[in-house]
Amino acid sequence: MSLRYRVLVIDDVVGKTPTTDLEALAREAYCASLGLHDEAADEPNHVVVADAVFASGQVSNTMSSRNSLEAVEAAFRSGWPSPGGQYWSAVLVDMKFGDDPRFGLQVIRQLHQISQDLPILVVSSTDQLEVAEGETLRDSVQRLGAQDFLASSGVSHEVHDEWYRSSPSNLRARLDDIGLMPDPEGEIVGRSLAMCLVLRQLRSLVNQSHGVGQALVRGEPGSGKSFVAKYVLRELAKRSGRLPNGVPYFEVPLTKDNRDLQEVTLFGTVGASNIKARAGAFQLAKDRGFIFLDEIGNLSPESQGSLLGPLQIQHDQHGVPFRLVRRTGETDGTKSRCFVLAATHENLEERLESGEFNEPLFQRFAGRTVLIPPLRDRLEDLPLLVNHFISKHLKTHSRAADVRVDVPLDVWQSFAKTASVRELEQHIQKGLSNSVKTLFTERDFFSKEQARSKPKGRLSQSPPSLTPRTEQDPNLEERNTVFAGLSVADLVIALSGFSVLPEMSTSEFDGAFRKLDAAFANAKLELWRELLRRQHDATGTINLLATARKLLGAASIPNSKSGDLALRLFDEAGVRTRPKDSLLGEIWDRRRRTRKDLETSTAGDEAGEGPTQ
Amino acid sequence: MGPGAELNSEWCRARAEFNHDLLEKQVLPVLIASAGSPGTLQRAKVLRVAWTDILAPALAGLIGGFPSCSLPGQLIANFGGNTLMTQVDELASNVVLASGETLRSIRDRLELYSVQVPKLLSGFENNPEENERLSAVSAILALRKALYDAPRGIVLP
Repeated sequence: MSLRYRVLVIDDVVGKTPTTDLEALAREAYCASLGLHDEAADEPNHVVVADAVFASGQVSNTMSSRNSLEAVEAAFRSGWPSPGGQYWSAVLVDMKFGDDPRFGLQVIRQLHQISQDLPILVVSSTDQLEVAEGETLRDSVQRLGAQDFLASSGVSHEVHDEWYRSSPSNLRARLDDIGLMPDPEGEIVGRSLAMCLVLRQLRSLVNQSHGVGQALVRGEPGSGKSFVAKYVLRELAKRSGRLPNGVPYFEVPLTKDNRDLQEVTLFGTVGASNIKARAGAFQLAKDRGFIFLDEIGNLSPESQGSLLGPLQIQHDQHGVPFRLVRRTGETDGTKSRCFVLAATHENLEERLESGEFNEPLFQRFAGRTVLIPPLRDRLEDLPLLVNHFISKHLKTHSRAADVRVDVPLDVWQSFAKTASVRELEQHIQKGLSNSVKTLFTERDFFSKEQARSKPKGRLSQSPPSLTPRTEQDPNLEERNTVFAGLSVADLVIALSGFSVLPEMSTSEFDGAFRKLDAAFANAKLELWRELLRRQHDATGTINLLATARKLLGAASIPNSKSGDLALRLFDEAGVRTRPKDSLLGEIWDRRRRTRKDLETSTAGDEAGEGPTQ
Repeated sequence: MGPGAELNSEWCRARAEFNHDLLEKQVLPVLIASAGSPGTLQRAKVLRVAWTDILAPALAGLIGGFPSCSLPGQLIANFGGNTLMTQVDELASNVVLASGETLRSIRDRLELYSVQVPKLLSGFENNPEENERLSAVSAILALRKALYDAPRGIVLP
């Protein structure tokens, strides 16, 4: 799998779906000018810097279009943060929408509310427009923190031609610098904003290092620190034009048991009467190699002190960075040009306070520390992770492709709130260990206790089941993501389009129905409230039972949902006694049981809370 | 808002739509992207047809409404009557604007380019060479500038 930069273009003109030849050519020209591949079109002939998805930032009806920040946000969220969603490397924003030259500024503010770290590039010809006393649009944009202004203003064709010629390389340079991107090799599974930010930070540290840098990766056990090391290795290889296996790589696992050997392993020794001379990792990796110090918190106090020198980067007379490394027993030392990545799950600040960790060594990583988010903070990646681990396990065990795993996503989510990525993988492996079954359900993965502990009353926002068979329909996941991002109004419009319905899969129909169903139920409830209000205004009383019975009789919504609605009406009206109507009575009892369960569960949770480790 | 101000605001909106949406975002990029590309002839044809069907009527509407959209006569017609209105408009037409031009000369330029551009686009379609393309780009840029130079409010003498 190879990924490219992927940008969201928000532009009122080229962002609209083209309806005329001129509009289609304008979209094509826009793509050619920046080196974009419109995902809705075929692969173009020009050089491609990034794939692009277009949005107009407007809502249209038959009469006119209006600028809409909601539409901007919905377009953005179709990439993030929906479960297993796509990603945006950057957002390209126009400034002038319709006759409002400042709407682009509002778009930037809106996107920054989602994340301040989001790369936003402005593409506009109105950069010199004065928007306030002495302030041009370009000034405003920079003040808001957008990263660049790719302006196309100019009055001569030479200026325009030059802009068009240089823009793809300008865009590539900016994306290389600030663009967000999942791991192109897919070894770090995840497309969440949190993971993309981590990878961008690592990429930036590698880019700035010229091969001689260092970074500290911190994360809970099982969060994927060794995968991050492999990612850094691949980035180092890419920067130096080598294959990853062409980079001298030394993984040094540090444990409390191997403290005696740490100095020799890292720095080598000149030898003595009873010790053979040998090179250490720093000597072996001296030619633009890579050293991964796994669990640096386990370094012996002596090795911590010895590491200070090599982690002090020096520069020769040509400005080329190097480290000076001395073997044990050596006085002069040799130059080593390597990248050092240290990792730990420990709270180093606590260890600093207790004097167990060397403060100058800690400072060597100041400004170069990367935090890997725990699984619970990137639950958007869960569908991808679960599918990845299931497929991996089935592939490893050569299991038939018709194996199906049918576990609701909220069950996995509940588990993932207290588990690491490694634990998730182990759990899935264990659950799939039965080599005879072809259908695996919740019971295969979770005990009754685990299943019961999942949160109640929470609606799942994601497809109901995960199955490794999604490869039969490669676009399914993406389309589900798009559906999840649509507002109900948009959905109705989409469904009414003749071209959409025949292409929809069963899963898409399910998603659409669920969404409409929920919207419909809410609308229905509003209508019943209104009916009751009028009844009350007219007669001074309300016949709640009759209204609720009518609600249950409504054939257009399912009984369970009608029951819920009816009981919500009872709650609102303050009814405290069980209805005599048999059907309503039954629902009443069920509701009371559910409430009791919830109360018991909440009380249990509170009682079970203790100090965290 | 009186009839003069309404006319002015409607004209400014139409100008933004023409200049920004059509010229800057569609016609110019397509014309510039045509340089040396295999689809030049097809692009030239689309541009010529779009000019005839979409842009020319829009531009004719803009020129038809200019400079009356910037003249103060209608604003004060209610107070001073038609004679005063005509006199004030006459004075306003001769006011030298920040761009160094009068309303009259801007209108002349707009009319000139509205004739030139379609001819040059047709020329490019008939002979899709670099020189023809550059001439069309230059004329469109000049038209765009003339539209930008038109004042955004009503000109008071």
